[in-house]
Amino acid sequence: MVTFVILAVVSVVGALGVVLLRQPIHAALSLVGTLLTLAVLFVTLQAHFLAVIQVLVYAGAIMVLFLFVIMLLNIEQQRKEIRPWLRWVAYGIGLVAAVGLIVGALLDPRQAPDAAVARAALQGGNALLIAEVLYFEFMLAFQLVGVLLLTGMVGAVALVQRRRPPPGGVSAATAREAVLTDRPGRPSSHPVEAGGR
Amino acid sequence: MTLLPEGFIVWSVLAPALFLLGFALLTLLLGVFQRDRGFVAAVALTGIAGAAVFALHFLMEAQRGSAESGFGLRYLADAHASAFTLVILLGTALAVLVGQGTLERLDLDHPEYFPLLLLSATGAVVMVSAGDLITLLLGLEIMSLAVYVLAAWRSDVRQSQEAGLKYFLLGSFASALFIYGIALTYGAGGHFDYASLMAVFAATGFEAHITALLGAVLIIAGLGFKVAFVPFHQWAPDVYTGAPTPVTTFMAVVVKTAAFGALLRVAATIFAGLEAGALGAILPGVLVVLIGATLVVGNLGALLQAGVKRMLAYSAVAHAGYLGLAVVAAGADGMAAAGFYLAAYTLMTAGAFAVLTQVMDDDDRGDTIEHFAGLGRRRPWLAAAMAVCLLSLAGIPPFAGFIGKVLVIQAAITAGHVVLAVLAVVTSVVAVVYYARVVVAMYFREQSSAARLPERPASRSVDVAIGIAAVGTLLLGLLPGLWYTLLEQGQNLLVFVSSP
Repeated sequence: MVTFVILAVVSVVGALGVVLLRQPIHAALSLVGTLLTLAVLFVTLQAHFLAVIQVLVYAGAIMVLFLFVIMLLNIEQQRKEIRPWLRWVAYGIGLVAAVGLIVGALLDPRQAPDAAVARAALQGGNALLIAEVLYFEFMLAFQLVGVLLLTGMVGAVALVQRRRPPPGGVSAATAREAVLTDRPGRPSSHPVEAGGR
Repeated sequence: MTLLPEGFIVWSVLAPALFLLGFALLTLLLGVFQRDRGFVAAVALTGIAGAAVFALHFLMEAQRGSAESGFGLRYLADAHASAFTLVILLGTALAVLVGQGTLERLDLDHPEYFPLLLLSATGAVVMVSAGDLITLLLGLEIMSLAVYVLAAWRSDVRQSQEAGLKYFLLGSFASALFIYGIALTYGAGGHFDYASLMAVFAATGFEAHITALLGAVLIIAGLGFKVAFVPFHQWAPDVYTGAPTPVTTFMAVVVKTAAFGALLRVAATIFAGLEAGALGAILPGVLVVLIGATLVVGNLGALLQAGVKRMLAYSAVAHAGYLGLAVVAAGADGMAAAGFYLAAYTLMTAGAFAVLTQVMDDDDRGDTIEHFAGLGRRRPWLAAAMAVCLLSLAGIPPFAGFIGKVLVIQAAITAGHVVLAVLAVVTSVVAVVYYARVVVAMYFREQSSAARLPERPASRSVDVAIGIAAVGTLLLGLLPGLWYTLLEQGQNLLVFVSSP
């Protein structure tokens, strides 16, 4: 129980840090803290496989991606608020929602299962159990995630690989014509290529 | 190790979605080396037709009372799912035709266009067939992700970039609300699939009402964003206007059909189960307020617009309100009424946007009413088709829009929402004003010299799309039974039956 309280406090403080810290990089690092605490929480529940996956995927791969994006974009400090009152309205709504959730959880007549029950349900968090749920019960959802990733990939390529107007302000259409007349014998097979990168 | 029950995995029910997905990959591959975009469009249409054949088969099965499902009721192919799949396929086919005829002229012809359209349609089909919240969420994301990209397709124009970014940011926010709603619903009910949730919520021992109610409200917010219920509609006018018109055609019809298909199913199962318990009166109250606001804001907003494209965007919001009447009546006749309404809506809205692509100039600008002045004399067929679509949107007999409105209003009255029904009738009188304004300009005003129709050869595929839309609107209005009986008599799985 003591372990749980410590871990819970650390993870909630980390989550608050993500929202409250001004520097995006600090917020991202704060998120790492929360994710790692969650991994430790999984260990205390004997869900070792989940804990390892949590560290590898979330704290590892995804956070590295976050940090890369933040550093590459080099977000400037823009603190011009368009509607200052909106911030307070948002605070109010968030507070009401949080209180409502806490009250709802306290009023919920069902008892929270104690650690032994959770442990039994997780069965040590072994990979077989997860695989059974993932590949049997949620087989369809698992396949659909693949389609979702494909859609994201096609969309990203479509957005990024777009012909841009060359410096000097020539429009895309004239640029294409210019490229085409440069190479009269070889009509380009690809509009992106034709745009003259 | 638990083994799956026999007949858990039924790949055949996925046939329409898989067919679309397969052809999306095929068009993606063809885009690499096939310069002829007409050929790629033809391949895309073939895929849509193939998927439609499968969906029709499942619809016929549902007529015989043997509706199919797979993955333990997580994926359904009953009357509702197959009928909505057919409407989605119709909308996608019209969007492909319009895209084929206009993309090159608008300088938007990139090889990823048709694949993204088909992928988005795949997600839409999954949404209306979903039998659990996870499948629904994934379908929603597949559909939305592709549409976000398509909205920003005109990457050198600010409005289009803004449309894409705005849609993406607000859409992600709506998805977050939706996911939170799913989490709360799972916390209250302990299941993701509609069938179990419905049973748990309606059971006598169920006590986590507040959590379940919060979850349901957040699910309404998430899906309400996609269908553009007020106050989640604010993206719609900007995104519809900023996106290239061929994309708007797709967005206005397919996204709305898919989101309503999902919302109706959730309303008929989870919400119905929730309404049977204590605090059950709150949820219909929330829906009634949202729908009433949508009817008023959508119609008044459309009344104030100068541009026809933006007017149609607000009209799409208003029509979300009329369809909302079917959602509050989802348990009874609502699903069939909405299926009819959306078929009519798809035809007339896609038709109106298709005409718009012919009137606007190559920069996708010039959609003021002045541009329509005198169209009846210069392009009589185009003007006639536009008039049919607009009068149908206004709900004037004998067009399909009229029958659709009658059906949803009837469903709402049967479900006991008389106030909403009256509001719908009153607002549809307002709607006549702004649709008629364009029709009057086309037939009773002279062409102004400032706003000339651009000179260009007519595009055959856009003409085909406009023809299908206009004839379909008329046909569905004159012979509504053809489509409505299929919807009404088909078997729907997971129908909520209140326990004594």
